[in-house]
Amino acid sequence: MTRFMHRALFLLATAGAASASLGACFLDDERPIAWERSRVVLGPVALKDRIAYVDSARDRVVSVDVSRPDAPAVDTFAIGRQAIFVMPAPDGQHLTVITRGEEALVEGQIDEEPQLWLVDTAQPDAQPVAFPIGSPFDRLAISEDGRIAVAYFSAGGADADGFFRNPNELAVIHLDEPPGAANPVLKTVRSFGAAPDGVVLSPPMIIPGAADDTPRVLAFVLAPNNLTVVDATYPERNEVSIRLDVGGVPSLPREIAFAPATATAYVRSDQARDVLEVRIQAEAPAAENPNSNDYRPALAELGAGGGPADIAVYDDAAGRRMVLAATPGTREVVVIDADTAELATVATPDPIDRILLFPDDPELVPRVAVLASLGSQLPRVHLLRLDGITDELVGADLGTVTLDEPVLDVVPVPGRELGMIVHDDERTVLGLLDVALGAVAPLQGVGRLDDYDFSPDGSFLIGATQGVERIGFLDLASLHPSDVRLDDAPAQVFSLQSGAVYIDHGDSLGQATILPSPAAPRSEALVLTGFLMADIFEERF
Amino acid sequence: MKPTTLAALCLATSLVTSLSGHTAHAERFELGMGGGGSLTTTDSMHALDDSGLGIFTMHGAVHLVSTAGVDILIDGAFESGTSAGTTFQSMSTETGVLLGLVGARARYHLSNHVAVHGRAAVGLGSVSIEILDPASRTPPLADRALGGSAYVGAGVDFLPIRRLRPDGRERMAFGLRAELGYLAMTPAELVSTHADEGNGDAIEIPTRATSLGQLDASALGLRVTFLGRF
Repeated sequence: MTRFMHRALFLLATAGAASASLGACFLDDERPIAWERSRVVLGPVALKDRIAYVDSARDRVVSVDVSRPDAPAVDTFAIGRQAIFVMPAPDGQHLTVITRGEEALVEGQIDEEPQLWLVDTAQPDAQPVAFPIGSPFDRLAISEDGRIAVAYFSAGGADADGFFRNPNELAVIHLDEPPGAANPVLKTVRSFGAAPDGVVLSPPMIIPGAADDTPRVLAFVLAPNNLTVVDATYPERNEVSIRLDVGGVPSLPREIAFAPATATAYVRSDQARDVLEVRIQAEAPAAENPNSNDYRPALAELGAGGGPADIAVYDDAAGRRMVLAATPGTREVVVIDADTAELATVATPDPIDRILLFPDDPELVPRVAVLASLGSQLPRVHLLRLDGITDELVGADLGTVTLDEPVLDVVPVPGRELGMIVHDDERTVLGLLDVALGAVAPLQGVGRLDDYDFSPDGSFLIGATQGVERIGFLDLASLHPSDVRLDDAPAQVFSLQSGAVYIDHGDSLGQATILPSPAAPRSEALVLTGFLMADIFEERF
Repeated sequence: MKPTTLAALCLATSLVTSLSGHTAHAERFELGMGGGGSLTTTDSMHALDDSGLGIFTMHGAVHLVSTAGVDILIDGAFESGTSAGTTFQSMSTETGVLLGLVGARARYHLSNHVAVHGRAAVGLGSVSIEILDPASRTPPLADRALGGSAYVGAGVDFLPIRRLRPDGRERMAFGLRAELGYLAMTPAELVSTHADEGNGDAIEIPTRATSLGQLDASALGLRVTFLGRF
């Protein structure tokens, strides 16, 4: 090799090293570690006229406002790190989100504690309110007036992070008050060896005879063999524990119905011999204990007997609170006047384990109860007329509707005396039960009914099958079927208060088809894309 | 100043001063082709990847005039840049940049084989993106936008292979060019349209896209090209 070539190679190598060194000087422009987070999209969650999603990587709530279906608006709200649970508030406008927070391990991360976020989706400019809840709870119960929430751990919500975990811990949050030292209040309920299965909040109830006539929201904490009552209105006060296995028989509380006029709760438990009545009675608090309660629960068995499988509660035309309890063991349905504790029994030919009231509307007085034996999968249901049911002169009016296929489930149509009957696990064979007439019309779909919804006024059934790029509509007045062809397969369908039909396509980047009404043709549909990636290039971590 | 920076500058200086003397350079044009990569990334580009763009470049220049030992050339270049990345551990991204640049280059010969130059250019560019969630059944998001671009840079040419005319003037030379420069692009306003599935005749439901924001593909880049001077 010539001297020139040696020199040439040396110069080339030197030039290469110089360039690489010069380039290396600028390679400290690192990508923020936040872009390497794992991402989970919670939702879609239906609100009144909006659909909400929670992006756990971008720490935001994305709300699609379809109050104007021809011009949907996308709003975003910043929340904390690692959203793990989302739930709409009863008003259909607020959204609650629990964020787990983050422990800063590397540069770019920020320490953040678990929080409950209250998002007002109707106010795009409003900042979400954060309540520090202290522990990474993964479940939430909200009172029906939307003022009080209780955060708790689910049975399977084991948190791999952290050192200790207290499954009996609760956080009581007053959502209508600003966060502070006394809001939320963390409590550990008394445990007898088991973790809670769930929390049910009562409607606001005035305790009869109590000096404090403030309507109380009581939290009933359900656990195996145990029921704990916490005054969520005054969470600093002591809880009251009710043992359910005193007789040696284990009991699993499953369902609670309330009679707020008498401050009474009715508890149905698996393996229990009766419905348990828990009547909240006034009792003067102990003067020496500032956290003592001004009430005590008085317990009684209703006398339904036979191990109740389901209960239903309604107010009749006279305003009386009535409780229905199905006892499949005795093949009876017990009707209880909650105000007087008088009861009447109705014999049923089948072991009833499901009671549904029609019409299914809190503003309307139920007139008919549909009784079904779902566990036995029998090809019939029974209709119990509720008018005058406790009148001994009238007697019970119980009719039977015989079907061709076994009944696996009954779903009430909101606000109508109609119920959808499911005959198979794949939900391909359905029926529409007219409770008023006692007649059933068969329905058939192309495939499995993977998701469905009823329009708010009960006029349409809207269904979707995964993999089928169509959405089906059934006019419940005429039973006329129709469908709209979509451009992509649906994942979930929602019918909103505005009348709009929102079809989510299961795209983590965000894609939805919006129809202005169930009767709208395809030409009036609109597809909204990429809304979960809105302003991604403006994101700064 | 980082030690590596200082070392690099010293090395470059010794490289330049180690060479001396030059013969007449009367070439009419030059052509080059090569590649490189971006060394910096804007905040908006972080949403797509962390590795910067890989660059392919082709350029040509025509000698305009020489004055005070400095050659002025009219320079034109075509560049394309691509990158692929992952965001939030689950989203695959692809970014593409296409540029057409026209400008001027000022070149000074340090020796027969080495020259240094400075370059400035303006032009048009397009930025394209594609965002895909492999778990999703819907087409990826894709969009493209046009914008203006401007470039300034400086570099060094090393052409060890030279062929001379009988009169001693250079007939042709071949070698390498290393150039460090900053490309400024106007932020591209991108929206969340879907990639074309090839359903050209299908009647689709009207789609409303969401704004993804403005993507700024500006970057400091290093380019190394094979250069021919004629």
